Amino acid sequence: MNNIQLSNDGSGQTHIFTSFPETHQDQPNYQNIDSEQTTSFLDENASTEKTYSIWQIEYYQKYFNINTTDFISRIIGSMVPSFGQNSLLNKIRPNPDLYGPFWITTTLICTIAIGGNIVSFIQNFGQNYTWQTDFHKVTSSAFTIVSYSVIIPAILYVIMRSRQARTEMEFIEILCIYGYSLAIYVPVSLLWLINVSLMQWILVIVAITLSGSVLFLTFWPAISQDQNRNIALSVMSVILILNALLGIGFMLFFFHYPSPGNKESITSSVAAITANNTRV
Amino acid sequence: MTNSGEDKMQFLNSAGNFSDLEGDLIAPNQSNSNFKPSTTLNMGSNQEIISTLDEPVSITISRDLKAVAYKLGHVFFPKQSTLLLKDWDLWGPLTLCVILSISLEGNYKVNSNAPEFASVFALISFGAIVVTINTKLLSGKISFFQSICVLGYCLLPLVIVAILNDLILFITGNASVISFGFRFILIVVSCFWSVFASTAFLAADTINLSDRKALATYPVFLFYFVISWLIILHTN
Repeated sequence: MNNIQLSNDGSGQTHIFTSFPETHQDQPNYQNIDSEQTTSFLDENASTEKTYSIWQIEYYQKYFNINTTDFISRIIGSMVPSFGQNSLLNKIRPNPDLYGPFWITTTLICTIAIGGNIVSFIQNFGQNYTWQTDFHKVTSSAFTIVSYSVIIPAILYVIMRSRQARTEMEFIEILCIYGYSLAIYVPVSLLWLINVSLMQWILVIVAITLSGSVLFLTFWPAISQDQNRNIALSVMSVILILNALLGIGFMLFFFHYPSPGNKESITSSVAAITANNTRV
Repeated sequence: MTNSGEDKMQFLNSAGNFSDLEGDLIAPNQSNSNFKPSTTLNMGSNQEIISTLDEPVSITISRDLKAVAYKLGHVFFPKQSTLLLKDWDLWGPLTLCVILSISLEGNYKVNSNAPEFASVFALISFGAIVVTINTKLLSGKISFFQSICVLGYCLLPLVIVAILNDLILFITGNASVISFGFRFILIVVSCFWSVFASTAFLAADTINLSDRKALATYPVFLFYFVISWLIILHTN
């Protein structure tokens, strides 16, 4: 309150401040009035941001505050494991978004359910058997993906919160990273339509390696802060094993059944899966 | 101690208001003297104000139907008009959604996993709501029902293709490769037409999405893609 009046009186000082804004950071004692004034303005900005309640849609706009180039660079960061400046955590750190996780999981549910249906459609095309869409695939893929991308970040956050004095990551950041780490499965699930068993296994191994290494590179610096080395290692290995199980589960459950809803074909497909497993 | 600043601001504002007030003070006097007879005449004639109560029901329905049909025409010629945004209605979307749900309804005689009426209806309506909320969250300047209206009206190409799809299936049967290819091409074209028409409204420059147009367009594409997927899977 006082500052504004003072600055109004000494208008020459504010003129100096606005003409050389970079000196303000370097010389904190140069003009106390100006620094106080800027902090008061910062407080005002913070108070205007807090006016939205949880029930207003504007409250959530801060989680959707990205543009197209940011989004693309984050997706690339989730597929290509990298260190330091280019790592996924650095890309999402200023403002973790929920746009990517939400639409990546939605896209993955669609591509996996649709891809699973296409595989059974191709194998039944032209036969007398009247092929029907299997909408249980949508339900089951939605259940798997949503539970993986929400429950595991929650558990991980609770573990990190309870084990460590200073939390390295916020919940929204873990959620964001887990959502983006699923992005690699979208192109892979489209390529799984090529129904060659060896090709599918190579693709699933590539996908697991890439997303697993991204998860490792982002979470290991935070998890390794744990004083008990064994617990840190076991948490990290559980994360990687769950990721691998998710990838293999997608492939076996959705892309290996020849025709859903037909008991004979299910038994034959189970036989095929076991044959595949033994081959690999 | 912001009083000095506020005083200045108030003085400036009030000075600005005085000029406005001058205009206002003159205007009502003129309007009172000049337009009083005309307003009473309007009230007396009863044609413009209470006209919808006296007219036959058929005229009311036909006028509303004409409005809906006129807006449907705009879907086929999305010439960057803001008609669907200006006076939105939910009759068109409701009708199109019901037609699509009926045409995609599965055959109950076979114990199938095909979608029922309710599931298609719920998918379309919830999908439209989610896409709308996404546009709002990307800080697009559009109201909730405007976006629902645009998404609903832009279902029109898909509805037409869904009906054509039923006709082709009725004529040729399920297992023909040629008919499948023809249906596939039709559905792809209509899906892209729907996306194109709806983005002409939803991603227009007035919505103020600047560098987020692609982010707002992708969910719209996904919405129409899933619906067209349901259409292509529909078998008799």
